[in-house]
Amino acid sequence: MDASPEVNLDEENVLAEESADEDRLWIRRVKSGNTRAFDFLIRKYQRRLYSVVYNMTSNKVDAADLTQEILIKAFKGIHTFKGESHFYTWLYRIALNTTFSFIKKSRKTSHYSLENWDNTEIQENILSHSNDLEMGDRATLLKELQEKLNEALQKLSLNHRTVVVLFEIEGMSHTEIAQMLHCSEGTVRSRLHYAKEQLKQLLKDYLKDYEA
Amino acid sequence: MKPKKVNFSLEELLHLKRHEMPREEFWETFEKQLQCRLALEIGRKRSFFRTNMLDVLYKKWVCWFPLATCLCVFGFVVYTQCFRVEKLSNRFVVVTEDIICHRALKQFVLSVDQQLSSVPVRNLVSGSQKIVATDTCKRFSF
Repeated sequence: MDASPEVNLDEENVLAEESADEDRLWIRRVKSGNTRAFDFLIRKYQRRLYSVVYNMTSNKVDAADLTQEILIKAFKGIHTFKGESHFYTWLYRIALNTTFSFIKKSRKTSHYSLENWDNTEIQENILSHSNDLEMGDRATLLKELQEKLNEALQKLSLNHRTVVVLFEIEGMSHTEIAQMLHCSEGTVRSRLHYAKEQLKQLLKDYLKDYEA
Repeated sequence: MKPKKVNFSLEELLHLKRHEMPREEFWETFEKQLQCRLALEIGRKRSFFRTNMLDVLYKKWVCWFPLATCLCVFGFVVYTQCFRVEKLSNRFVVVTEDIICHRALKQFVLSVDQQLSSVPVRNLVSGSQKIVATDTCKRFSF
């Protein structure tokens, strides 16, 4: 029983390596002039990139536009990718840099344009955490939760928001985030801690056992 | 204080954001738009390649530039030595007929005593004397 998490970790590593090998193969094809090979990489990463950008901006229109911009940048700069890191690390770095400059430019004019929830799954999730809510109330609560979550995220500083999005929402490891942000794992952990403290304060009405 | 309707942990609450994803129809439009933008970019990349080809040609020409410069300098030196025309200046020397008889010579070096500098032109034009302007006072061209 004790060995199972290690096995899972090994399996994950093997899968990650297989995925990286597959990426290298497609990148080599793109570099040799087969531009259609880039479609594979687009399909593989577009949803993850979109998710990061959307959670950073809380605006679905901007997120779609930025994701396209990021993929075009990656296509244009793929010859500079030397394979020293994983392709997705390199891609996420482009994504974060592009998003950061966009957010800095549009700070004064930013507004929310929120994405749809995956209703069936989320309603089940809400149901398991709500205290005897009726169906009508649940829909209202969903909308309210979405707004509050996005509002709270947008109140965080860029560095804090990035760490929360990558770790809690995208499920990346501290090591991966540190590589992407060119900082130490300790910095990532510390930013995550402070960001969570801020979020707890901002979302206290929806959290269990919260004490200020 | 607002009554608590849900009791999530912060992590659970943040995980809810994983469900905020566009519908499948969105990705069809997204991919079409992206393909258009990429096609434009590939077109631009090709014309950029053409521009680079010109650069390569330019670079090849640049490789010949030192040799071409040397040839130009050599040509200029030969030209000035063989077909040199003395510039008129306000410095004069007096030249007698016997010197002018050496027409075969392109240049003639005057000795120091034959020089007569700083004499106005009108005072020197008489008899067999000719006035030739030269910038060095030591040599002149016929």
